[in-house]
Amino acid sequence: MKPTQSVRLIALLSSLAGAASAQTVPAPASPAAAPPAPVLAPAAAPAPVAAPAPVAAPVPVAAPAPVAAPAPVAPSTEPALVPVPPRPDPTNSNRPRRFLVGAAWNVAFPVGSVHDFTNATSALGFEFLVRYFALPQLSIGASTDFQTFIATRPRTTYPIENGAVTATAYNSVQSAAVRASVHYYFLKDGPVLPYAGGNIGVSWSTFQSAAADLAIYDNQTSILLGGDLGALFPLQNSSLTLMTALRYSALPSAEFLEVSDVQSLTLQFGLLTL
Amino acid sequence: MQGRLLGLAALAIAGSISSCSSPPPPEARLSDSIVLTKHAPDASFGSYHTFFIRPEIRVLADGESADSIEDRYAAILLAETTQNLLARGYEQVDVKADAELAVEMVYVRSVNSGTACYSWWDAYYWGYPGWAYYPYYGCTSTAWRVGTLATMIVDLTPARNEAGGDADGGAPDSAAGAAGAAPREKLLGMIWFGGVYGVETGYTESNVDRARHGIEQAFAQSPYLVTSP
Repeated sequence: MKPTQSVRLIALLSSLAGAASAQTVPAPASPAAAPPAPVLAPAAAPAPVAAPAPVAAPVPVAAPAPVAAPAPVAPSTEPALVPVPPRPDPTNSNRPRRFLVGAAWNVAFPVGSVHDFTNATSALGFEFLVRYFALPQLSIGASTDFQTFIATRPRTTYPIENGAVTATAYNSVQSAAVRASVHYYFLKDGPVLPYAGGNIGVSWSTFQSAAADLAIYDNQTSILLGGDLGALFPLQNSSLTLMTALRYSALPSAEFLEVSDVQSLTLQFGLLTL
Repeated sequence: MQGRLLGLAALAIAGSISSCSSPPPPEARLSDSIVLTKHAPDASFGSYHTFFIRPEIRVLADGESADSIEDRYAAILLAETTQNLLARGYEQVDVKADAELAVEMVYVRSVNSGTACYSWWDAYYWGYPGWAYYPYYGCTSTAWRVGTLATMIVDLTPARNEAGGDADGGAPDSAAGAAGAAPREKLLGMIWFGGVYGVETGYTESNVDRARHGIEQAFAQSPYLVTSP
C-alpha cells in the first residue's frame, strides 16, 4: 500500500468536493444548456440625416435626403432576437438521455468470514464504471473493479502437507469483478442526486497466505451480489460529477481455508463525466 | 476536455497500481522467527521407544569444515529437545547401538547451493557405515536456510535389524530401508524435521532463548510425535 498515493487521492477528491459544495444545479452538456444569448439582428446603420438645404430662395422644400433602405422593424431600445431552441427542462422526462463514465477509488472493509483472514481496511481499490440513464431517474450500468485486502495476522500455527509452520502470516485477497447495475435516483434534479441500486456480476479472487517463503494460494470464481446507497454531485458549468457511495458486496462461492465467503462494505469516491 | 481525460487517466493508473499491491517479499517475511516441522508420511512414531541424542550441535556451512556451537549454548538447546522427547514417552539411551531413533541438531550457517545438504550427513557417526540418510524431502527444499537451527530424527531400525540388533519397534519392513530409497540402497529415513528459522549467528543469550522457544514450539505443533505405551 502506498500511503502517499492514498493521501494524494484524498486531497484530489477533497478539493473537488470542496468545489462541488459551491455549485448548484448541474449544467446539461448539450449546447442548449448555455443561457440563450441574445443575438442581434443585422441592424441597419442609422440613416444619415440630410442637412437642411440652404434656403436661398423660396424654393420648394428640398427633397428629403436619401434614406437607407427601411430597417426591419424593431423595438427602439432592444436588439432583435433570433429564436433559439428552448432550454431543456432538467425535470422533463424527455430530456436527452445521457451516459456517465468515470472511475472511483474504493475503500473496503471486509466483513463476514473473510474478516478473520484479512481484517484490515483496504484502501487498495479502484473501479471503472459507466451508467446510462434509461429514464430520468433510472440508470443501468456496468463496471469493473479491483480490490486488494492485505493483513498481517498474529503469529499462528498453520497446517501444511505432512507438517505445520508457525509464523506471522501475511494474508491477502486480490479480487477483480465485473458488474451489471441498476440505480434509482430519488430526485430528478438538484445539486445532490441520492440514489439506491443493486448489482450482480462475477468475481475472480486470489487468496494467499504466506509465511516465510511458504505460500498457500488459490483462485476462486464466484457470483457477485451487491447493493449500494450513494449520491451524485453534479458540478455546475462542468460536465464533471462527483460520486460517493456505500456498497455491500457478497461473493458466496469464494472459499479458502477458513474463509467460507467474502463480504465487504465499500466506500466509494468517484469522478464521473458526461 | 483533454485535461479532464488526463486527470481521469492519472487517477485510474494510480488506483490500478495500488490495487495490485502484494505482501512483503520472502526475504522480509523471513526476518521473523519461524518454526517449520515436517514428518515422513509413512512414519509410525508410536512404534519407537528409544532415542540417542548427539551431544553436540554441528555448524554446517558450504565448503567449510564442520564446527560446533559452544557447549554452554548447545547444552541448553540439547536439554530442551531431550526434555520434550522424554515428555512424549521416549526413553533416552546412552549407547547409540541401543537407540531406535537418532536425534541430531545442526545449525545452518551458510547455504550456497541447493544440493549442499547431501554432504552434511554423518551416517558413520551412528555406527552404520553402509547406510546413508538425508531428508526425505531432499536438499532443494526450502527447509535449509541460513540461520536455521534444525532438529532431525532418523529411524535407525533398518540398520539395527540388519546388524542383528533389537528387532522390536521400528517401521514395518524396515530392512528394506526408508521409503524412497533406490533399489539395494541402504537408506535411513529421516522421519521428523524441526526447523527454527531466524536464529542469528551470534550466540547470545537472547538468540539461544529464541531457539529454545522454537524447539518448544516445534514439539507443540507435532502432537503425533509420541510413543505408544
